[in-house]
Amino acid sequence: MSIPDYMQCAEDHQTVLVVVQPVGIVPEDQFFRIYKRIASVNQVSIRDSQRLLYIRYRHHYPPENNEWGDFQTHRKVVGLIAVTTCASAKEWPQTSDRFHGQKEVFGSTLYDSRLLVFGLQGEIAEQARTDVAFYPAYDQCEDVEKRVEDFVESIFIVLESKRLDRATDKSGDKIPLLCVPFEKKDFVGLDTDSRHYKKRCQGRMRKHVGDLCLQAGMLQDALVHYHMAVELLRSVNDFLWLGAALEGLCSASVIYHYPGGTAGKSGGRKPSIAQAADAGKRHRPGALTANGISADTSSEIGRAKNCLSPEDIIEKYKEAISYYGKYKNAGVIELEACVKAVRVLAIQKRAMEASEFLQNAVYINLGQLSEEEKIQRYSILSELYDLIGFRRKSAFFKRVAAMQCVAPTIPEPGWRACYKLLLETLPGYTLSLDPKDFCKGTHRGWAAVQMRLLHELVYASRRMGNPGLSVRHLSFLLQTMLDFLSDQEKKEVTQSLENYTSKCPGGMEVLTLPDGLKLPPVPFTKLPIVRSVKLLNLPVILRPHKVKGLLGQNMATKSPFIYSPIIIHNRGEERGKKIEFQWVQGDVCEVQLMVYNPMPFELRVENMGLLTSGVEFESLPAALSLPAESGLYPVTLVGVPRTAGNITVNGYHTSVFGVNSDCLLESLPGVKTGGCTVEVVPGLPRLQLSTSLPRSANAIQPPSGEELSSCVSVQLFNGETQKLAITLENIGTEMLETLEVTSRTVNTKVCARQLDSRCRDGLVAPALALHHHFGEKLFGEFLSWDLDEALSHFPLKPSQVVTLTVNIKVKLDFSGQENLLQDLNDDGISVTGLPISSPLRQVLKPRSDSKQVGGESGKAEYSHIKTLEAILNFRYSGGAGHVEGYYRELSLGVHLDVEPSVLFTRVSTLPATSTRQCHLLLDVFNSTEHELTISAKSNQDLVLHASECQRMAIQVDKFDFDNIPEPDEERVRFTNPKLLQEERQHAQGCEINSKLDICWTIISFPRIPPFAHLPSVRMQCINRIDTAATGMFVFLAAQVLPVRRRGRLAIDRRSTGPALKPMRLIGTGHRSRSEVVRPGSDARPRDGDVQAVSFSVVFVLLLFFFGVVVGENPAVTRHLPQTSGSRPQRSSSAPAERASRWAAMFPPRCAPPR
Amino acid sequence: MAVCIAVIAKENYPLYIRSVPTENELKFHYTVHTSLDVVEEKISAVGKALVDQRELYLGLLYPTEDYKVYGYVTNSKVKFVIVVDSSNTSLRDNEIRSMFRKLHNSFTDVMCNPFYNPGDPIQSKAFDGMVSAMMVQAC
Amino acid sequence: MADDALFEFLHMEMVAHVYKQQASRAETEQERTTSVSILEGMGFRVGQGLIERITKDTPGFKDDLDIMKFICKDFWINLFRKQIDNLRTNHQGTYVLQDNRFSLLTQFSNGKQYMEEAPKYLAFSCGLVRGALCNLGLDSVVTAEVSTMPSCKFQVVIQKA
Repeated sequence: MSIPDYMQCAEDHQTVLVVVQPVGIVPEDQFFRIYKRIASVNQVSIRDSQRLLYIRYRHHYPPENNEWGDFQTHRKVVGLIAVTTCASAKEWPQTSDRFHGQKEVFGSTLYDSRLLVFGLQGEIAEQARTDVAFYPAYDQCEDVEKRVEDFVESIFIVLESKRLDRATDKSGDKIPLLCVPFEKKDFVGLDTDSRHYKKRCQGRMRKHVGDLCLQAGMLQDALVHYHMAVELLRSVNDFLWLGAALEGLCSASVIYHYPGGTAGKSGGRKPSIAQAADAGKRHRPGALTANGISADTSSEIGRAKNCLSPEDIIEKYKEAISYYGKYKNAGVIELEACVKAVRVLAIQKRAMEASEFLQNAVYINLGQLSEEEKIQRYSILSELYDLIGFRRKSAFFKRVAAMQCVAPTIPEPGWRACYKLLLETLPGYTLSLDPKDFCKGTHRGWAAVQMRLLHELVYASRRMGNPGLSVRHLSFLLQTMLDFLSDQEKKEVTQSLENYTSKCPGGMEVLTLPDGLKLPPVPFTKLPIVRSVKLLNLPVILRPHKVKGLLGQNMATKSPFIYSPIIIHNRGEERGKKIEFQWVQGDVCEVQLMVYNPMPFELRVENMGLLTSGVEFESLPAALSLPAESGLYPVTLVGVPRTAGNITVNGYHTSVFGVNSDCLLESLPGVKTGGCTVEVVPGLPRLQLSTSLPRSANAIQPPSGEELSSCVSVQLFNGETQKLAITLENIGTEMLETLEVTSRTVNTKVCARQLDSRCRDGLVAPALALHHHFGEKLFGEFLSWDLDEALSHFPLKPSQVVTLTVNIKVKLDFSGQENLLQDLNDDGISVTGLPISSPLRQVLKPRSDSKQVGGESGKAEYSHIKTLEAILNFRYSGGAGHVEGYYRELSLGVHLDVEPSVLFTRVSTLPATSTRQCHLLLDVFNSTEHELTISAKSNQDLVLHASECQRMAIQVDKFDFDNIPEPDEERVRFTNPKLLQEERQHAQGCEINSKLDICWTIISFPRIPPFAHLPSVRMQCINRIDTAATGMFVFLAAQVLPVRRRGRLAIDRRSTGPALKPMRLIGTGHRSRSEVVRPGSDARPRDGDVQAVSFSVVFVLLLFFFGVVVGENPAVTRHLPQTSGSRPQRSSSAPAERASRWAAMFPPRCAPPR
Repeated sequence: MAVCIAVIAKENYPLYIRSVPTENELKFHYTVHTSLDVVEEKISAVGKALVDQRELYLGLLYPTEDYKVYGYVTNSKVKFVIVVDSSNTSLRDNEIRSMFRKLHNSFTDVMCNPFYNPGDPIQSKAFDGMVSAMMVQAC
Repeated sequence: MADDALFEFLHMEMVAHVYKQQASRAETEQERTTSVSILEGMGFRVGQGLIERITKDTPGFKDDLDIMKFICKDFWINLFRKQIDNLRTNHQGTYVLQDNRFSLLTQFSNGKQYMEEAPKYLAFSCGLVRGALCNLGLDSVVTAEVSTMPSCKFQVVIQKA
């Protein structure tokens, strides 16, 4: 007997064995159906007696096992049920013969047999035979069970007869020696008459009878017989049969103690009612049975006094097995005995001893086992270990079985079976295939062993022909065991992974195996390791701003409470925090991840993108390559939201080594993020602007840290006007519907004395507001434009262009008043009492203790350049975003470098022939590097060389300021008187300006002179002076005003006076000034009324500002800077002549050139 | 002389495992791993069987054809496993006991080291040295 | 025997140090709880190591009660040179260890004075007991209370996993 029956249990000893076999060709499924029905009759209660017969059915039984039938009667086939199909009567004899032939196979042990014929009808079928049953069809055989029962009963009869026959003690007669197959030759020629021999025969027979009793359902008798046999056989040292007898004893006891069976999960048999629930409790000493009787004593009470106690059972099994162990041919018996004992021990929960038995069982040598048998053996061992709770051993043996499945000697390796078995070993090694189990806490289980197992899984699945599984397992290995892999192993694993994924890319789906096991997806969260996720705001030019509506409108989207302390405390998780900024639909937005590469080689990540929800998002995947074992690198993932709403970034997806992973941030607790939800605003248009002037290198620092999109830089002369053409192009996809342009000046130079808070109040009209700003006194409108023309093109479609022209007019004060003041102190020049003002004085007399008031302005004086900065702000909106109230901003910085151009250093008047007119004498100073031509309204042009100062005379009507409107009462009350004063002066200045209309022009060469601050090639223009300078005319106005007030009378009164009168008047004012400033100066004494009118310094000083108007350019002449002193006076008119004569008396003060 | 020595934590994962370098070191892992079953059984059996012998030394856990496996458990449920060659019959029980004693002493020292966190793999050089002295000298 | 004094002084200074560190950071309420957990954590680690050393030669324990008895006797003797005076249990996992003259409290007072300072000086010992029990396989929560100095009660509640 070579094939052990691992499923045999101790209680099988009381069964009779019936074989059910097909005869001829029977369809398999039909056969098994019938078989199942037959096998359901496994317990038959015999009529007229209270005994139960148990039947065991087999559909395949090796005949050689039958030969051990004498040794243990439950091993021999006593019944045969043949199933056959017979379609016609013709086949019947054939079938019948075959049946008989099959009977012969088991003939020696067969008690009875039956034949079930299906499909035959007709007269043969009508025959009523006990041994043959005819059924018309497979599904028309309701009484099969009944027949089987009858069959069993007939078997029983035979069994009983045999038992009784053998049981009677015929000590006198010859008792045949029962043998096992391999013993037969041992007993040839032995003396049959010796007592030893006789006793042996008796013992063996007794044991046999015991078996029969057991089979016949007579437990007590069996026990008695077994005890007797044991004693007999022990005395003759017939070890094999002694062992059998002991085993029989154990079986009977087991049957008694454990009526529920010892087969474990399967094959539980219905316990007899008498001994119901105490089977499981017997092992616990001291416990009570169901009916309150102590289990220890229950074996004594009652009929079963021959029964072994549970502990004894095991002892006896041990003994039996040891006896079996002496015979190498009895290996199967031994093995089966071990298995039975283990089952019993498992019920008794004595795992240690069971493991010993099993240990023993492993080493039983069964001779040459086929591979199949080996696999079966290890599997059974594994199951048994599992039964006793030795999970690890069980896993170990299962693994051995799996390895056996694919042993090299097997012609067709069963990889599928191997894989299946390997999967079953996983729990024993605390290895679950769900990566989530490995991301928290310490690593469970033995890493080295687990890695080996995973490698084997990968190999098996690959050989099985399922590359998807290989990829899944390999990625699992890489993900969970990354910390335990050595560098070399990491390289190998990734290489093989790449190899596999080239055939079958890894994905995130759940793989379902045929037997239902689901393999969860394995995302690569450690390749690369992401440390933080940060959503980035859009670039400044693309940020949407919300129009600040009324409180009520805004609050409509929020809670009705303006302020609620409850909201403050509502801190959700950091991740759920909503971010302050917004994204715009249709525009690219970015998320920055900081990543780290833990691998010892370069990691290539392809197709890295974002996983989002809430809004349709088009992710633009990135590919990156990270150097070995380094980080943190910032990686920016971009995408375009296609609809508006709230978008949440849930995670990211990558494709590494061919495996796609979706990593969700919530399953990565170590990732820092400052919020993942962002509001996406509906689409807004995009504007791009380009200017006619070149971009500037120096950036303007905007006051509040906002960014400028671009910056232009212009260099102008004071008073010049420049046009800046701004081209706006709609480069977005939305229509541009609204546009607002505002400007503001920026100046970091703060002159303490000139801080003017009026502009901050916002109470000043915009036109004037530009006059008052920190630092520089700006006159007139700086930047002006006409938006209506541009707006007429709106709404602007995508890729349409519109041009806006901005006029830049700069009029600054280049006087350097403070210095002058000091100069005056030192100089005491002022010949006519008028102060000399020239910024060049600083150059003339560099002071040792150069007192600068307001450092930067001083420096500016030194370098003669003032800078002015302004920001043009474009606010635009359109499309769906406009409906929601959003807009975008563009800002353009304008940086102006202003050079001084022409200065009036002195002003004086001469009376003219008519009383309504006078001559205005102006000392003009050309502070540029070029030749200037000055022209007034009705005068000849005056040419000034660089740094030259000359006098010019203009005949002009006396100014009349009656036309200047007075401000109304309301304004007077609410406005600063100073402001009013300035306004008035400005108005007066404008009046004067319009009368005089002085302008200057420079004709410059296209080649740029070597001085850096000179304007660029554009200066091919003639610049005209626009005499809207405040200073001069304010001064004049100041001078003239009192003249007017008094002056008109004065003039009238004194109109006949000496010609110098007006001068005197002027001088009057001046004297007062000089008195104010320098009481002890050597100013020429003057007579005349002194009107102590206090003027601010600004008004007194002669500062003339000129505006510039761009004109034509006739010609270009190169002009070299010249020394002063030349006075090419060209005077034409008589008053001018007089003026010039007068001028000769008082040469113009102008400093020699530098 | 031992062929393999292992220290296993309370939660049954290895804190320290060191074996004689052979081609298949993993088999020692397996052997020790499966021996844990037996160890656990013994530990739990002590409580049930009311055996007064609350010894820390567990004795021979199970024999395989090539090796014998001995076990020892401390009061803090840390297990030591020593695997010796079956052919090394000169090794007596006392010697095995003394080996375990030394192991326990060293382990206690490691435990008292403030820089050692219970549950981490043992990386102490002193412990290593002590174990090396007990292992078979590989030539 | 100067040994006792060494540990007592060290303990006193330890408590003071931890509190001083914490005081420089947070308000008093938070400071107290954090300091207590720091001290308890220290005691925990020390307890783990100590029990390893002390039980090196003792045979195994039968059950929880056995372990608690060991704590009361050998462990306490090892640490404080005396046994626990009274052990009570409700047999359901709660034990109360009473020490009538707890050596770390004897120097405070003999009555109710300095009662509110006492818990600080018991935190370490609570940690000791918890660490020892943890290493023996019992998860527990240990608290201490003082009604009259220098006697104090340690309450151990074994957590059933």
